[in-house]
Amino acid sequence: MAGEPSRERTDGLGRIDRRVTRRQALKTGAGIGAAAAAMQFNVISRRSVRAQGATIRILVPQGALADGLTKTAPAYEEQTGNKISVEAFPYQDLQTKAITLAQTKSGEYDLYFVDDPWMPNLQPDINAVAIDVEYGYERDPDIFDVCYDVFSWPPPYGPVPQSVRDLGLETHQYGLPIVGNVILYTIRKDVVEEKGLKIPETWDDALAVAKAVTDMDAPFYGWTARQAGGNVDSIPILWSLGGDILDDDFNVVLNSDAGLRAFEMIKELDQYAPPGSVTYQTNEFAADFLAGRAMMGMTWPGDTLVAMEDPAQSQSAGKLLYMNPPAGAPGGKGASVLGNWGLIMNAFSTQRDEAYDFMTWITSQEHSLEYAKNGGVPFRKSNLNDPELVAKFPWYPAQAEALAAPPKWRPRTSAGSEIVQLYGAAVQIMISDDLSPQDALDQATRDIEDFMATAID
Amino acid sequence: MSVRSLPLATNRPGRWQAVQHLWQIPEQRLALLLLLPSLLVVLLTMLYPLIVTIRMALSSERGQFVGLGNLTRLATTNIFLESMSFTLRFSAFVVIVSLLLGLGLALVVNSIYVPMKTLWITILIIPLMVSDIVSAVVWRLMYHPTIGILNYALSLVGLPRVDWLGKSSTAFFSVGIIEIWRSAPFFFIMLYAALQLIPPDVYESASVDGAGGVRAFFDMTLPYLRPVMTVALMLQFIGATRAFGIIVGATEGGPGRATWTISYFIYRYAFRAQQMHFASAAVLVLVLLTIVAGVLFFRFVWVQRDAA
Repeated sequence: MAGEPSRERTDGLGRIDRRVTRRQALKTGAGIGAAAAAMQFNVISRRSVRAQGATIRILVPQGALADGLTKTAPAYEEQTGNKISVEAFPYQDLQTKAITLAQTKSGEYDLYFVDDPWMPNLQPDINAVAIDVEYGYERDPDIFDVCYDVFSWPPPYGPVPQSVRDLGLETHQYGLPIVGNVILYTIRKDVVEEKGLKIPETWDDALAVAKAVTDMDAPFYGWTARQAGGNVDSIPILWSLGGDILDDDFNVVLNSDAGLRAFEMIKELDQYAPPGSVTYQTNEFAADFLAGRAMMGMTWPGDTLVAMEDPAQSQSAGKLLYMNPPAGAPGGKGASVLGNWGLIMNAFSTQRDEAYDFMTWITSQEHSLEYAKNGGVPFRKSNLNDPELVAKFPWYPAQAEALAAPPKWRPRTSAGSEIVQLYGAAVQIMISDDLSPQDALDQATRDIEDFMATAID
Repeated sequence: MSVRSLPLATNRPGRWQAVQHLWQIPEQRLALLLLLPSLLVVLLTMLYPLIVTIRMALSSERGQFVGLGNLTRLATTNIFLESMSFTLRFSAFVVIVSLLLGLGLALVVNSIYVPMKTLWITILIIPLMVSDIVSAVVWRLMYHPTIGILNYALSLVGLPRVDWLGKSSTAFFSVGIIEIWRSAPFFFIMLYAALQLIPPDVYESASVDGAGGVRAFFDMTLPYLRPVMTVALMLQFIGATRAFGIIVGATEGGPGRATWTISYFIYRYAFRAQQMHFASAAVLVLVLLTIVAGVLFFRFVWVQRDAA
């Protein structure tokens, strides 16, 4: 091949001088520049693709979580001519369906609503599109870092499963936050004032407040909790008291002094809970607040807070204070649980560009206000501090504070969801069958270890 | 219409010989050919999944062959053993109570003193038409600790509230009652139909011989009902071992893991925990349990018939 004569030469000691000529340097530079320009053009052209008439299919959870998206989507349809087709499934079915579709490499949906603990099961590096690579997506500083981090894979920090580490993957952005959920401690501030109590700083304070206000005959309950399923809502107590389910190497470390103290606290709090609350699901839990018979509990912005703050249906409306969970000890800091949902683009979608266009549109600054007004759970700092929105949704400042903290995420392993479920089952049986906290800890440890023996991390 | 009979064999033919004989007759050959597509569909839809399940059960989640490793691990997995124990206790409780209830209802409705039989039958079989999940949700509301109608009824007569689904001990019976509510009508309709087939002269002869009502029931009615009863028992036992919808709808396996059946264990491990291979081993155990139950029940029927 004819070309530029090389200046390559040896220095007599076996070393090679590979300095290039100016022309070679210019050619190389021009080549790189052209490639970069082409990539940029590719990104710009892809971002501007709005093939009119496309139908973008999205798998979402049933209930209020997807309200913001479904109510805001018509504006997108009008603007672009594309259609948004949403299919809703109950939580458990959605998890199974999303993961099964991914495993079968189905292109049935373009976008998935994904709860953050499902990320490891989804195997994003195979089944989702890295939008930072494929579309040059750049983080928006108005969105909390943790909301991006939780939809990056492999996790940018914290424990990473060995099987994932072995793959030597680079961390990429596989989704955008769509529901900025984080668990909040919620308490009736009017009752605190009326009884001359203090807002709890620690879980011991919370227990004392629960004891002081409970009147089983009225009835008015000092504590209420959603306990069916994984009992995720009790995890802030465990974390705030210094306990955890797994350590950084995914060993089960629940059975510790801190774990025991947490289980004791959960059991003691339950003495002031409504009878039968051990089987409470979300609606039953919210009903206590709606009826004005609950003092405190752990709430998720995406679940029932809109109803709880609606004077037409809630006797607790306007009387609730939201905050980060109490600490384990005076001067300490409480830990919250992250529960974000993300929009993940299916790697097997045949309409990637259209899907990307919609996911960036719905999560953009420009449309976020409308999204929040339509019932979407914000993940942007500007929305959560917007005075107009805060007046309507009073938990926003607490949500912003919790997201900035940042909250912890649940174990980033494909076994994570089930591990939390087994933890929750032990907590539930401790309360329902009056098991001792130590026995419950033993059961949880045994069950989780049994489970992990056959699980892929 | 002419009817051709099979050539008589001097010795009792084997199954393959019987097929060969069938093949020699044109009409039978046509019948066999017509059956072939159905047979293929059955083979594909039953045999293929079974083979895949066996293959998965013999390998680890990473796809390495582990032989009986998953099955032996099941034998030492506390959650599975407790699920198995619950399943067997639950199935036995459900079928025995449902049988007694169904039999009692069938005898009552069959009685000459009960008017409007069609209306009663229609009302009694309504639970059969309600789906698992709907049944579970309706009963869950009735069991609700504070707003449920059952606790309200108890409070009317001054009895304390019961946490129907909130304790392991009560959850067992509460979930069992939902399953019985759905299962007893099946026994009722099967046994009622069987009662219609008992010739009246049997009872007339018994009466002539001086047999009273109780004696006639045990000596005449029960033997006539036994084959139907046994088949119904087998079907319901197998159904109860597979209980899933009721569990998901009523308790989600709780409190804790107190109402995990084997089916629920399989669901949790296969679809929630993504341990398809380990769950496949549990599927094999469930299939084996079903086959053993089926064989035992059928053996009971054939033994009774041969003895008769």
